[in-house]
Amino acid sequence: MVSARACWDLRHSTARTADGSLIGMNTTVTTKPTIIHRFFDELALRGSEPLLHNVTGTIEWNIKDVGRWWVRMNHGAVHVSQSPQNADCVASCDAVTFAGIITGKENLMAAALRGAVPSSGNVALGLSFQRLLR
Amino acid sequence: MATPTVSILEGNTFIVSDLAGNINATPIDPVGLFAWDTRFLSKWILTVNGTVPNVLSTDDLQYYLAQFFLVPGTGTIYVDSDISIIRRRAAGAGFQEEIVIRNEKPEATDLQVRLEAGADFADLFEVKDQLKKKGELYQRVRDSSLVLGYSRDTYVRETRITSSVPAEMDPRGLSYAVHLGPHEEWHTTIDVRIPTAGQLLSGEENAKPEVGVPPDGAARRAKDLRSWMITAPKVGSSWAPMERIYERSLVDLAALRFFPGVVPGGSLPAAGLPWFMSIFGRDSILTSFQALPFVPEMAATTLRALAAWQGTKEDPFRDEEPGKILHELRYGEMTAFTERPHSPYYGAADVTPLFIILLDELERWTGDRGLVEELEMEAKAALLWIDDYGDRNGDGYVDYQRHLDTGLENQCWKDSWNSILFSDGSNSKLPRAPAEIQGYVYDAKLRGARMARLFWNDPALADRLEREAAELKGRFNRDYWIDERGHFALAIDGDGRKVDSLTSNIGHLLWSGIVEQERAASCLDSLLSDRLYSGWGIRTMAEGDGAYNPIGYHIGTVWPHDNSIIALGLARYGYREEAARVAMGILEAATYFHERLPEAFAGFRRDMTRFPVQYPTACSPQAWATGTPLLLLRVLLGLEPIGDHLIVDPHLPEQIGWLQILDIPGRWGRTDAFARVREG
Repeated sequence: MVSARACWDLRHSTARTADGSLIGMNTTVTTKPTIIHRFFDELALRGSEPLLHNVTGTIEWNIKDVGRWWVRMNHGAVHVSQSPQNADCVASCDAVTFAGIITGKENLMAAALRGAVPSSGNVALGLSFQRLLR
Repeated sequence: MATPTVSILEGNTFIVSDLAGNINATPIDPVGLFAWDTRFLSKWILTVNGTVPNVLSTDDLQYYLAQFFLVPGTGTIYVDSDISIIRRRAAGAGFQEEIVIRNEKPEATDLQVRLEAGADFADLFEVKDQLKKKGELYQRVRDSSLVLGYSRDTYVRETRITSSVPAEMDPRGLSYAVHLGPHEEWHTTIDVRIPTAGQLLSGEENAKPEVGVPPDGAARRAKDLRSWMITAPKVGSSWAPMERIYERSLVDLAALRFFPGVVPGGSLPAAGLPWFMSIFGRDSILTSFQALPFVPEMAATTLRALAAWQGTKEDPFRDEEPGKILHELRYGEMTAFTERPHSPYYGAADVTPLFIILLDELERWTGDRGLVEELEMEAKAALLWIDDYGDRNGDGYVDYQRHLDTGLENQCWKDSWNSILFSDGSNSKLPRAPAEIQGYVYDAKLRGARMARLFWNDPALADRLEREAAELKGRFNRDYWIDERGHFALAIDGDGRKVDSLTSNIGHLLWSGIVEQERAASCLDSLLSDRLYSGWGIRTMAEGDGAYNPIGYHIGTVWPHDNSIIALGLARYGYREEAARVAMGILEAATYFHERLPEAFAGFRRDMTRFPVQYPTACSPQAWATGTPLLLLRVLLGLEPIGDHLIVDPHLPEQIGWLQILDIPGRWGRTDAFARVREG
């Protein structure tokens, strides 16, 4: 029988880059802005995320001193852009917090409750971003 | 004995005060204005000329509305007062309080009216565990508002108080110099505003309320409650308390509606007041299940919200695993600073199979195949979790063991640390595989097979799930049976030992259908033996087992929801008379609690106490206790959806001459069920 772990990974086969790695976890050798850029680059490559099959809308990520990204989710399709578009949810945070979120050291919901990720618009949509993270 | 309190609630907010409407919380009392697991007001004391008025009467008119009639305290034996005070308080985004003061005498009078206000912003976990704050409290008077605040790094919570009549504000409260001519009346409306869900996460300041606008919330909520009651089926019975019990359940269920945000506009049952006003996987699922024949829409929101939060990764702190359904979601400071793992916390081994059970049962009642199709991926991920992560030691049974000490030791419905005990009273070893969870897994596989065949176009999965269910049933009936004691074990523990206490858990096995027919009669005998059955209900643990304690949380008390599930299980195996007896015991117990069943009551024998004894710290209202009469009505009338029809196959206890439910919603539209005891 196929195990849940294997099956789960199959779903995210598109998420992996050519070298099979996901997001750089080692922040001591890679700077945070680099991790963040790589994250969005890899997300753009991923192109789809079945876990978001019920989610539609655009999140604008405004990461202090790093950049702005627009992540459009449409029934599992994921599109990443750095050119401004209409967003349903605008979320902001600093580079340390965002790097923590995408490397799994930080929990998005906890960070949001703490006020570390001020967001406006459709906040529930913003929280669904967590499903893009491993 | 605890001081009497008045509670009102609305959505995600609740207010607990004394009978005069005052709040004067010590760090450990659950009184105050609470929302988002945080106490936004811990002091709210009305004084007139420096003294606290005396209470004439208190009415909690509706779950969201309370009224307090007071007279100024004289400090002496009661004398006729010529001043009367009315406080009318409605919950909603905080609360709005109207204060009316009447001068009943023919001369003018001057009064100093003051409201002392304060907020400690305690996390409910701090209230429960008596912990100290780590950030800074502040109070500011700003733009005709008194702002009570708390900050710790980026975490900010504020309560904003405004008054329709200009008040003199200082950091500790509001004062009014009131001049009243003969027979004059003075009133003001005070708005105590807390953040909405969006504001909580946006970091925006609380929306400033419109000063002077009377709160229309109460009228809107009254309309909402009327429509809730009108839409629900009508119950009638020759047994007089039945209608009152049913109405109490419906109103309490309305009060416990929680708006999870991830499902726009939808509400699901929060677990209970005061400690558990949040999404709880197990409680929200089982309450939605109980309520299906009456208010099926809650189940859809429950399933969607839990699906949106379904685990996607391994996170030891939160006991999260891919495919797992959450245990609880919390919003307080300790969760925000990851001092608690509840954002959300996933430590529950039974909720994932229960998720599948509810999804299938919802379709059977409502015909909502759209939802089954929409949640196909989540349901399949849940089925995968059962076989992989669910069984951590690979023995073929779903078990649990927390990763860190901040997690729950017991991750089944009996979630206190000392619930899975041997008959000599000693504790079992982790990981533990409770019996009832294996029953849920069996049921979930069969229901998953039905959905795979009918809606997911996946006959191969259906065949496999059915094979696995049949194999599990055979194995379970061998491995969990204790021959020398003649009943199923409570669990198999980490050492592979059968945990041999006799408990109510075996009743859940009947509900699931995992019990082989030849063992069913012995389950029945055990459940209704004097050791387990108190006369009011089936105890969580049998009298005579080492740890039995009639006032032990999960080791001797009677839980109404537990009994409702067991009654459904007895009926499933054809023990209709016994199911009716169990149902009737619980319904009769409800009449001793003003028709509101508590979470649990003591396991003392009925012939010893003559009335059911309340468990000291039980939650009330509590969601699955609230749902219990609804499921018992289903059991008594034998309601079961078959195809597009509702089958009615009643079996009433002797106390109930006739019983009817009108307008039961479902895939058949609306239909009625009626039953009468046969003469002779």
